[in-house]
Amino acid sequence: MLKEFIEAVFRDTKGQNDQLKHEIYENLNEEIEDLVSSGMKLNEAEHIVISKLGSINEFRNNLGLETKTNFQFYLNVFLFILHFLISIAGLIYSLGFLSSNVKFKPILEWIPINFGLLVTYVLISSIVNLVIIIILTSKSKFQKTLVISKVYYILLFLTLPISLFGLVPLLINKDTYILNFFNTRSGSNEYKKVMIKRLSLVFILVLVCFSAVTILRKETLVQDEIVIQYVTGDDTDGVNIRGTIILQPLDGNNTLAQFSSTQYFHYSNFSDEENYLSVIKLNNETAYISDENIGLSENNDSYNEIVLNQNYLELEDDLTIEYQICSEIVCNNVLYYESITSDEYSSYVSKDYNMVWVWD
Amino acid sequence: MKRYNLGNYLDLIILIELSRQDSYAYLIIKKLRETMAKEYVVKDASVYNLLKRFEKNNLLEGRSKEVKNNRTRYVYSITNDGLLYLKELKKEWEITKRVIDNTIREGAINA
Repeated sequence: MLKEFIEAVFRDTKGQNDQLKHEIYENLNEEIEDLVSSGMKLNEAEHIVISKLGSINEFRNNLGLETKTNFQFYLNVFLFILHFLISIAGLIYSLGFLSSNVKFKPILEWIPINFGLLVTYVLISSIVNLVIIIILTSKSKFQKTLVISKVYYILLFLTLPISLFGLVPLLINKDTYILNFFNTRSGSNEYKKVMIKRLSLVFILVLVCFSAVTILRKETLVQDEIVIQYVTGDDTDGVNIRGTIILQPLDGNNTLAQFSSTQYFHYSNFSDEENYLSVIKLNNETAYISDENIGLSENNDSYNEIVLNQNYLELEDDLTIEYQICSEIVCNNVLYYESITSDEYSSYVSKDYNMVWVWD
Repeated sequence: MKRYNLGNYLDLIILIELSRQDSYAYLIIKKLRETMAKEYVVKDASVYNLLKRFEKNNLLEGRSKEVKNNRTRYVYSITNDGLLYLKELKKEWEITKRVIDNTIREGAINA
């Protein structure tokens, strides 16, 4: 498990860190050996040594290691720029189309005003934009790799209504509304009515977009608070699973809940507040937990164990763990509930160890 | 129990330790934990980070050393530059300590 942890810490880091990696590995191994020689079980010693290092990200950051800018980052930036350009093009087309039809001096006379072209553009750009937005705001790594996430959300908020603005002419019936609207002369009562309708529509679109982005952002914030790292691997006693669930709230304190090949759960501090972690189900079966709910101690050195009722889990199985954090031991108040499934993390398959899912 | 960070004083403590004898990261961390008050917390990563920084700045020199069971240790020795820097840090600490002691003493007299 130590090797896997160290590998995960140094994966995709910048610079030549082989010597440091080896040094840390050797030192931690020595620490584990010291604990074992003092009478502790190897498994427990490993858990204690690894848990005091904190989460993978925390340890990596404290070591001053930087991760490489990877392909996903560039893809992310590319998609975002594409989204932005499409949105701006939508604005230009829409303004050009509308301005020419209301017989104002066309803002951009060089734009071919052709309804068929506009329809094609709006349909294509809407579909492309929709796909890009779904990808960028999904739970995947894409959105996480965008460093300028706050700026991104602001720009997304600004550009989404602009791109949707291109849909305005389509949302209005071509034969009745658009023609009547664009055939009216500015200043007339009919024109004012139409303008009010159009502005109302844009306003509604902005509100819808704002709500959508706010919801997505809220969901992402919740994800940001939680780091889930899950490691599975082969052990000497056959196919089994060992893992780490690290819950990392924004205040920087960690919950480290681990279960090893012997299906023990360990944890360390979650926060200064008394919180309780309970595993509800493991692969849709109610997980038997010795104390039902586990109090999360502030003391890093102590940990309890939760014995799960499964002897082992087949690696081929899709693993699902449902767990919750409560403010009271009777769990009247669920602070956090999460269900993680191996499906969601299948892209993080490594040859070094069977699976590692890191969600950060 | 509230726990404190050693902050910049970790530089000083590690260099003092290495000025006494060559050592390696685990032993340094272990000694720090044994000698320090419970209120202070030492993160492994901070020690590694510091050692690497010192090595990069030629304050320390590192070398791999074979030990028993085909294991290797990366051992650090303090360099002349490191000793000079340690002297500076000690001087800085003495001044800081004197200023704070004086301030506390004055406060006690006035009270």
